Amino acid sequence: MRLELRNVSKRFPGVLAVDDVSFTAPAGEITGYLGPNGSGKSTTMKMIAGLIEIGSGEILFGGEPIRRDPIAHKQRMGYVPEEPHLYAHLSGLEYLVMVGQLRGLPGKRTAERIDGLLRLLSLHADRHSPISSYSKGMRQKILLAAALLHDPDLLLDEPFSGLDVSSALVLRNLVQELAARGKVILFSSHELETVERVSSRVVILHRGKVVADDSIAHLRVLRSAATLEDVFSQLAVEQDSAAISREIADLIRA
Amino acid sequence: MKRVQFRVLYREFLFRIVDLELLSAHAEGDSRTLLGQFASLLIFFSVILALGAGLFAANVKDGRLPPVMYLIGAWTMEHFLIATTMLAVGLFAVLSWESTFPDRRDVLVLGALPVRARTLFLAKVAAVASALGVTLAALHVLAGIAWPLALAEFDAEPGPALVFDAPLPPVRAADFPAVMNRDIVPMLRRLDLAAADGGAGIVIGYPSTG
Repeated sequence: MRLELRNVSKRFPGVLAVDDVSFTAPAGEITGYLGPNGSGKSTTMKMIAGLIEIGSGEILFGGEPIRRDPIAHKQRMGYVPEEPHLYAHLSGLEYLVMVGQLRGLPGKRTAERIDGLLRLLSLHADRHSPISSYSKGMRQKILLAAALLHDPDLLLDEPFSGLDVSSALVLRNLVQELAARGKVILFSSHELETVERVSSRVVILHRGKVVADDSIAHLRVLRSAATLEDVFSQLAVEQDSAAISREIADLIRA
Repeated sequence: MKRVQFRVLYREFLFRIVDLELLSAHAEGDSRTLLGQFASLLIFFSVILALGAGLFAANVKDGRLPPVMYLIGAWTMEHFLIATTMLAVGLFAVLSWESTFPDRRDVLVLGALPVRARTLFLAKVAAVASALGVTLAALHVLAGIAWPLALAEFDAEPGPALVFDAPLPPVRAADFPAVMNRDIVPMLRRLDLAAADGGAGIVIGYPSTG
């Protein structure tokens, strides 16, 4: 089982957001999906999640094009978006129950699973509070719980901003555990250290195009770089960050 | 599963049918509290109208006012109730118009879940329709019972009304003078337009050329 993108493109009015992107994310591995802001990373994730239409090309999961039966695809997929969009008037528990019902999960088993997830993610004490009162990290945990509720085969993960250290550690180990159990995991983050720790392979996107698709170790050797951050800087960062920092400091002093 | 999804979404949409944060600071975004407040307001209005019905019925029993005043009161109240209903429907339509269609938040929250767009849309429409029905029911819960009972007490002379009038049978041309003598001539005599012993005749002409 694997996720495969074949020559996927997506155009918004006046902008080619994703340009002929092809890569494969196999099961049992965490594939890091990286790119600077506006590189088309989130657009690709949304196309895989079925939130937006695929412009051209094909996305296959388990050998099946996902647009052949989007509902069946969504049954097998869990998506943790970058931005925590939730029904804020519901409590965390109510939201997870709603997701379980919409996924058609059996009531009793789902209730046990929700209870367990809320405990493990340290949200049990706040389960009856409205989500509007949750911190960003808590909201992301709710999204993660919702994405894992149905034991998905494919996990699209864009998390880790706003999580405290212990939660980030739990989640890092969790995605590794899920990958070890044969899930396909596409992991997108701006925190390159985290990606370097959890992923064995990365796909780097720049201006909508794939500029690297290889194992991290091989990329480091190829680029003579010590870290993934150095590789990323060489491939996807056009600005001289040190010079820009100096200019900003000078500007505010003037 | 579609039925379960419809039920879940219907319940969800029903409790946030209008942009609740806009309407009540006291409810603090709690949809159930705000809908309760909204329903209470409408029921209070209905109670006030029902009290008016009680006063009307008491006045009818005492016979304090001339019958024509009761008639005017009854008509005014009927029209007021109709206008109030139309106002409530219009206001509700404006407030809930946005809710009829899935918004960006719905797409972002529900887009990754295995829910068909049709189910989503139907749940939205059903929620709006139900909320409208509940609004009207709350508005007329007491007034809708009290006023018909109060108006039933009222037994004044009937006003102008539409009544059944049998259509005239077709008349042959030869019988037409007799019909005119019966129906038209008395009126002409009252207006001195016909002689006391005169009758009506009929003249038929047609233009011809060539």
